[in-house]
Amino acid sequence: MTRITVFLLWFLLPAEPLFSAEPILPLPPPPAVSKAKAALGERLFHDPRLSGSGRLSCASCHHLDAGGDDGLPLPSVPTGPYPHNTPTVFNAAFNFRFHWYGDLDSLEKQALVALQRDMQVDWTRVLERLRADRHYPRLFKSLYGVIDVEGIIDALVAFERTLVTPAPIDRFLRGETTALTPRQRKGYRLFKQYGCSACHQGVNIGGNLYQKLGIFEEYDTGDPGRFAITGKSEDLRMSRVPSLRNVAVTAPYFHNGKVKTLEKAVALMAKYQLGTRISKEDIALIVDFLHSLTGYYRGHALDDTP
Amino acid sequence: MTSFRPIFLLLSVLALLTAMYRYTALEVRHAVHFASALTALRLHDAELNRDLLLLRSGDLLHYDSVNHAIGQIRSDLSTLTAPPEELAPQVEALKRMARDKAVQLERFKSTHALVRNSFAYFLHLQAALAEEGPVFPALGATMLQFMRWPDPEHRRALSALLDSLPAEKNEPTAHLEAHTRLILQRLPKLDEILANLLATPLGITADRIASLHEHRLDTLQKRSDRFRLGLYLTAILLMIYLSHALQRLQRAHRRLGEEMQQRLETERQLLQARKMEAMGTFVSGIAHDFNNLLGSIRGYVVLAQEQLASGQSPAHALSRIEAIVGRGHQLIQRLLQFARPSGDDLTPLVPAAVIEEALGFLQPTLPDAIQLSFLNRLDDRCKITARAGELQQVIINLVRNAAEAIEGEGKITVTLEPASSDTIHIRVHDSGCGIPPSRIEQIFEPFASGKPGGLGTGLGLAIVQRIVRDHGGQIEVESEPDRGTEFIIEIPKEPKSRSKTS
Repeated sequence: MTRITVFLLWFLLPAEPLFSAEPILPLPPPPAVSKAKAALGERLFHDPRLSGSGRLSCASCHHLDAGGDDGLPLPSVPTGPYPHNTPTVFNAAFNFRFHWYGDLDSLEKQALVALQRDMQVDWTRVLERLRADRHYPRLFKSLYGVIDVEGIIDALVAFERTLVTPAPIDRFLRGETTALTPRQRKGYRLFKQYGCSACHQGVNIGGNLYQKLGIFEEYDTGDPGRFAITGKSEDLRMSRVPSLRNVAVTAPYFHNGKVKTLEKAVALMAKYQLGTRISKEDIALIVDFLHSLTGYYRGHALDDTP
Repeated sequence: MTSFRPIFLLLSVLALLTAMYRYTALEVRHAVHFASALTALRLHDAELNRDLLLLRSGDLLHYDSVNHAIGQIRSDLSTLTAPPEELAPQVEALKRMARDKAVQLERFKSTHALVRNSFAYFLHLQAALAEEGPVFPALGATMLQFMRWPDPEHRRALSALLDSLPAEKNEPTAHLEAHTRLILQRLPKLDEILANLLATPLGITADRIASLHEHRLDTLQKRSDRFRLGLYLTAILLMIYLSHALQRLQRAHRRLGEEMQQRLETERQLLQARKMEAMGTFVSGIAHDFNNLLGSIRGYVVLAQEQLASGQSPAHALSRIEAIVGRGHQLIQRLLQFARPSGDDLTPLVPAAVIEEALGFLQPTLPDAIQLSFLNRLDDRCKITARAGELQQVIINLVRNAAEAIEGEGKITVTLEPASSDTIHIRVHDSGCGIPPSRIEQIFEPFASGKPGGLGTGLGLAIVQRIVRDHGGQIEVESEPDRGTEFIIEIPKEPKSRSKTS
């Protein structure tokens, strides 16, 4: 019955081209995630008891009221200097790999590594604390039976899958031309003409391939890129292409967080990836377009200032 | 019949079924999953290859679909767990191939993105420069051809056009050249990677494994057929056994029936014999009594003849004879009564009145030393349906018996009392000599009289029992030697319909 209904709905949907010539894809419908699990995950996401120090939660570095990142060039974690800028947690579920080097291939692994390496979780103590809590035992019992590491990770991931931010670009791609301002539309055309969309494409406008930083000019920041993991010379300075969704509210930019504005970031990309300088006007147009990628979370447009 | 133990049969059937169950059940599911994972893998590999070609031709502008396809291939491979031993190396090779393909795919994507990036910018610049000389449109056309067919011929043509550009270049032209050179350099590399990717025999290997696996599925099918056959035969075996057991049961049942019949027959014969015995006692009792009577009559006749011969009056002897004949008559009356219950009808009556009347008859015939008393504990309005004459007969017989059991002084008490809601008790108690336990069982049999010869007819208690049973009641006796005897009669107020027909 459900299948038939879905089938019919598929036919009744507003005309959507079966084949889209756009490099960027609109967000798919919200994922089928258990609401109870997501709610539990949200509670855990904000719970500093998950960290070894008892002061850090996931939300300490991924501000959900801002861009889903920490707004810092490099995160301040108790484990010492961290080499990379914090990526946003929004729409992270659409990334094909995680971390700048793309060394993890699932949200579960990312959550586990973040907890164990960056938050220095002490599982025995965490499980004890959660079991002694007023709410957790009841919530876990109905969903997982017991409180264990797998359940915590699963709930966190369930919550992360709900962190999806539909943006004006999605409405534009679904045929609502006026969702973008004329300047943004012009910016989008430039974005494609300059070849930006060769890497920043797909649902997440990036986040689905590796690319070398510095094609036409060496860009040596002292970071070996994926070479650090694979040891292959071809992976030198290769890193995961970041998603551009919400890019306007996730400054500063690049893996080292050294670039503070979008304009500079666009100019830098043009210089190193395209071997050219783009006019100020074109940069402004592209930056305008990049603002159309800023999405809504729980009814509010994301904002850079927490 | 063979003497095999059914428990062994059942246990072996159970063991057989368990073995078949364990041997077959789980593997089917696994085998089917295995086969479907292989099919899915083939399809996902085809999907991946198609999308790679679309990417290369520029019809697909993003990498989400190839990422999705390779992700599906990964998950298909993770389903190929625990491969059958002979397929393990092939599955291992398949996994290696898929890993290799995934690595190649990342190189393809990176290189492809570079080429697309440069191509996009090339088109942008070329369009901007189109007005500045005929070389630019020619460059654009040749680039399109090279993108389509990156062979040496087009490469040479593109290189020649680049060389024909003026040495002094403005910035856009320099960029155009740089990007053209990048494409010239990277596109063959990209096509090499693409050729490698497409040549990776992932689908063919999956196909080969699937066809090998097909054999296993056939084997499994045969095994499951055997399993079904086994189940079928087991069921037949059990049915045969059950029908055999049923037949034995039927035979046993029949034998038991016959045995029961025989036993009943024996019992009937025994009862007949006992009846005959009782009849013998009865007849000999009557014969004895009549003989006594006849003997007495003859004695008095002889006496009367002598008295007549000697001229004396035989009046006394004759009156004795008359008395004796009277007793004979009495005996005959009782015999008749025993043989055929009197015809008087069941009528509602007040038991106390009937019993008092009977006691009234009895009182004068009892010796003075015996005290007869009557206790009525019944409600005055209490009525029962009975035959009055028979009831009186019962009382008379019992009280006479009681009186005979008393030597010298004694007491006889007749009590009337309620027993239950629809029955009453008539108790006749005496303080006589009692009945010895050895005889108590036979007192209700005809001619089992315990009285000295000639005193009783031997029918008294038999008649009492008969009457009580005719009324649907029962009689019990309690007796202690030298302390007395009590007869307890329980009769229903309303006799069951059954009593009339008996």
